[in-house]
Order: sequence, then structure tokens, then C-alpha cells
Amino acid sequence: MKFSTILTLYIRNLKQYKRLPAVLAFSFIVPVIQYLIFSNLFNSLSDVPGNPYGNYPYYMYITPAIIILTAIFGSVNSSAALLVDLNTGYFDKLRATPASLAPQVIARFMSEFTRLSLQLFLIITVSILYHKRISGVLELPEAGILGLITIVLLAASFGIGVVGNLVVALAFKTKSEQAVQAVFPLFFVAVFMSTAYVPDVLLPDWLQSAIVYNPSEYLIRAVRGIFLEGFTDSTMDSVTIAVSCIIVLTTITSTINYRTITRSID
Amino acid sequence: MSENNIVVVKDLEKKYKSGTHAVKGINFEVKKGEIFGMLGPNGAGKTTTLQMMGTLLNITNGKIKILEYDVESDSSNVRENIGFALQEAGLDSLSTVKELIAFHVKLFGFRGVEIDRRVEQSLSLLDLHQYSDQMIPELSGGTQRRLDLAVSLVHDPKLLILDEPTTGLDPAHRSDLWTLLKKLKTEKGITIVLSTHYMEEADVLCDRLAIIDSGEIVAMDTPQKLKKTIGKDRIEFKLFESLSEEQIIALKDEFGEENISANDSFFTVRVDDGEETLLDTLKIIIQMEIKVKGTKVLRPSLDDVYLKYTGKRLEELS
Ligand SMILES: Nc1ncnc2c1ncn2[C@@H]1O[C@H](COP(=O)(O)OP(=O)(O)OP(=O)(O)O)[C@@H](O)[C@H]1O
Ligand SMILES: [Mg+2]
Repeated sequence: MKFSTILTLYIRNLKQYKRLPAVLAFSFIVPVIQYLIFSNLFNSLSDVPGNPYGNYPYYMYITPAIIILTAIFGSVNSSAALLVDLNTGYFDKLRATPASLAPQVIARFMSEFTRLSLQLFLIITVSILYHKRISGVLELPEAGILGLITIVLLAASFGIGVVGNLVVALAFKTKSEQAVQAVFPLFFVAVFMSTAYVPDVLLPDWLQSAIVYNPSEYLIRAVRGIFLEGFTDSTMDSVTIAVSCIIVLTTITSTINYRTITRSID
Repeated sequence: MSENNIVVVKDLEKKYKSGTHAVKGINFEVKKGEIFGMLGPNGAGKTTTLQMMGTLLNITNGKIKILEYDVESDSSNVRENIGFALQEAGLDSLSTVKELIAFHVKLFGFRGVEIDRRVEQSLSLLDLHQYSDQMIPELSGGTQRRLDLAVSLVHDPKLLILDEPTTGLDPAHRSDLWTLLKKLKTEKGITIVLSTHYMEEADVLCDRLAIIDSGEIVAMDTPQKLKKTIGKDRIEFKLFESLSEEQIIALKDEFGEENISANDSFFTVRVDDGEETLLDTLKIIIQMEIKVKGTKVLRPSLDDVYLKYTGKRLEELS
């Protein structure tokens, strides 16, 4: 397996996106719309007594949620381009060339990671511009550029590592776009059943005790910490937990994915 | 194993997970510069065999060596040196003809001006210039097959594996392709293994043929020798009226009982060389006062060979 082969495949994948505008648009436009609707609709949430984040405008509180949502939406789409190759049979044609199996899969993950990172930067830009519109100041969050890069890396790793692996495994198993899209609501619910949109003290009791089992909750805490408070000690704790969570889950999902792919070859 | 053998297949077996025993221990060798054909009915195991050669399927039992490389343990060397056009030409549906060829050139490690040179060469070789900026799904099926072959050849493979390369081509493009494959063989010394349903293709294109049925090779030789195994030529005589008992006896006396078969409207005589002996045979028959309406010489065809070994008619397939 040569690195130059992976690079050639990676560049080809990136070029492919310009012919898949729906994939790009879908995972970008939906979160932006949500952002605009939610921030206007629920903006009185910040005034609810007892809200620990009451001193932040609601649109800032939900920015991390929208980032995670973009990461998840974008990752559910990460098998779209792969499915095109699987269904035309081109994937198999390439298996008989140096592109073989592993380089094709690795290059696919690399290009999906790149695409997702760019989309995440776009969403962050939108939120910064929205902040300027409301407050009149163009400013980066407390943690600066480094903070934004960390946010993007965390969210993209979670998206591609956890969601992307599962979705790609499903693509190999079913070869069907519908099957892949069908798991979508599952991840959607995962984001809602967390403190993404509402601080925990305002959540119903049962949900407050359930969110500890929701992996996306840990990611949201880390991203929100960086975004709202900067790299404080408590943020660093959240980041450590989020990173461990990503590593453990990605190990599991990539094992599942590896098995599914090797089994799909008779 | 001799150095001349580009492909060596030994006791090759494939059992799919579904339980289908698609290939049941076959053996063959392909020499450098040979065009080796696999002929067989649907489901015979041709694609399964070719895909195991092309590193696309796991081998259940047995061995395949390609250019001395073991297909299982040395698969990356095999992939560098073969070109494989699958039965279903599946190509990148999100790219243009030129982009696709260039991508394949790069996959084999070529860089710089060499990329343009090979793309150009490839477009010319398969007469694809007029389509170079077209999106692949817009191409006709036949053009896609030619493009598939073009990208399988960009790196000058030593072995070309073609699964039904001319299915879906019109007669003109089919014979163009035969000419091209023969040219690749004579000018570049490329070895070709292909599967086909077309008898004519097997006959005019292949140096050697394996007839495969139900996962087994039932016959393997040059097309000429395979046809010889069928036996003699036959001369068929159409009749105005059916033969009398006496005439049949006279015919059997003259040509030997085993060489005559007759029914109401015609009879046939088996001879060693139909064209050479036609006139003499006809003279004898006229002397017997048999009224002949017409005549034709029947030489054993690959179709007969196929029928003999598989019990099926090839023409029904295509
Ligand atoms: N992926 C698969 N899983 C299970 N069985 C398979 C698979 N592919 C092929 N088979 C079975 O294996 C046998 C051989 O199939 P194969 O495709 O090799 O035949 P073939 O000679 O190429 O036929 P055709 O002329 O129709 O292309 C058939 O019985 C087929 O149903
Ligand atoms: Mg086949």
C-alpha cells in the first residue's frame, strides 16, 4: 500500500464533490436554517431563572449544538459518494488495480474528514457573522483560532470516526442509500436528548439522568466549553473526556466496519 | 512451472458463502502472448474464475500464479501488472472520459507529461477522442465498454483479463476490438484471458479454448483441434422424394453403414474432407438415380464441439 496511491484517490474524491452538490448543500443548509430558526424562536430561554448559561445569548448557547449537528449530518452523508462507486461496480473495478481495498477506504475517510472540516468552518463563520449582526462586533470566541481548530477537529473526529464508520459499514452491507438515510433520525434524536439545546437544569428529570449515557453529550460539553468559556480547567476536563469517548467509540465502530467490509468480499 | 507461463491455475476451487460450488478444481496454464478463451453457458463459473485471478474474490482451494506472483500472498504485485475489465462495465459516474483515464494513469504512478501522453494514447487506441469531455453516464453501453478497456490498458499490463469484452458491442466495434486485441498480442506481447459467449469470437480470436460447464473444464485445446474431435465433415443432400430401401442399401454399401444417415427430405454422407470429395460423391449418387435437389457441406463447428461437451447449443445463448 503506497501513500501516493492513497493521495491520488484522495484528490479524485475531493474533485468528485463538485458533482455532488446535494451532499454538500444538505449537510450545510439544514444546520444553518436550524440555527437561524432556533436562535430566534427560543431566544427567551436565556432569561429563564436558574439557567446557568443565562448570561449568554441563546444563539451563542446553541452554536455548539449546531456544530455537532453539522458533524453528524455531514457524516451520515459520508457514504454517499462511496455508495455511488459501490453501486456502479467501479469500486470493484478499482479493487483489481493498485487502489485495491484498503487505500480506497482510507482515502474515502480522508476526503470525508476534509469535507466535513470545511463545512464545520463554514458553520462557525456563519455563527461569527450572526454574532456581529446582533452585537455589532466582529470577534472570535475566547479560545481564538486555536479553539476553533480544536472544535473542528473534535467534531469532525466524532462525526467521521463514530458516525462515519457505522454509516460506511451499513453502506457495504446494504449497498443502499435508503438504508443509510434510515439511521439518520437515530443520530438526530441523540443530539436532542442532550444539553445541546437546553441546559441540563431545564431538562426533565428523566432526561437529566439519561444524558450521561449519551456520547454526544460529552462532545457537546467539550465544544461548548471551548466556545463559550475558552480553555479553562473545566473545559480541559471535558475535552479529555470527549477525546477518550471518541477513541473508545471509534475503535469499536472501526472494528465493526473492518469486519463488515472484509466479509462483503466472498 | 515454465517461465513462459503467464498464468498457472492449479486445482482451483470456489465455494461461495451461499454454498454454491461455482468452480470445482480446474487446472490450466496460459503462455506468454496467448489469447486464451473461456467458453461456457451462464453460470458455468467463468466470471468466478476470472475474478479470483484478478484478486477480487477469495480462493477456496488451490492456487493461481500470475507472472510468478501468487495471487493470494502477492496480490499487490498482481494488481500492478494486470488489466481487468469486468463483465459489467462499472465506471466512475461522476467523471468525464478524459478525467477517468487520467486518474487511472496516475493510479499506476505516472506523473507529469507522461500522464498527458498516456491519456492521448489511450483515447486514440480505442477511438474515444470525440467523447473525451463527456460525462460517463451519458455514453452508450458499447462506448462505456471500450472506455473500460481503455482504462484497463493505460499501464501496459502484461496480462489482460476480459470478462465478455464484446457483449453489448455492435458487429463493427466487435471486429474492431478483435483486431485491437490481436494487435496488442502481436505488437506488445500482451497475454489475454477472456470469457465469451460468441462462438465466432472464440474461433477467430482465441489461440486456445477451455470449455467450462458447471465449474469444470470439459475440454481444452486449440479451436481447430477441438473441432477435429467432433469427427468428419458431412455432405447433406436434399431430396425430391424419399429414398427407397434399395437406394439406402446401395448408399451404405458404397460409403459404409456408419457414414450414412437419412430421413424423408434429406440424407447425409460423412467424409474426411467435404469440399474435396463433394463432386466425386455427387457423381456416385447421381449414378444411383437418386434425385438430388441441392447439397451443402457441413463442417464441424465450435457449436458442435460445445454441444458435444456441454449438451447445450451455444447459439441459444447469444
Ligand atoms: N457472489 C455470489 N454469491 C453466490 N453465488 C454466486 C455469486 N456469483 C456467482 N455465483 C454463482 O456461481 C455460479 C457461477 O457463476 P459465474 O458468474 O461465475 O458464471 P459465468 O460463467 O460467468 O456465467 P455468465 O455467462 O452468466 O456470466 C452460478 O451458479 C452463480 O449463481
Ligand atoms: Mg460471467
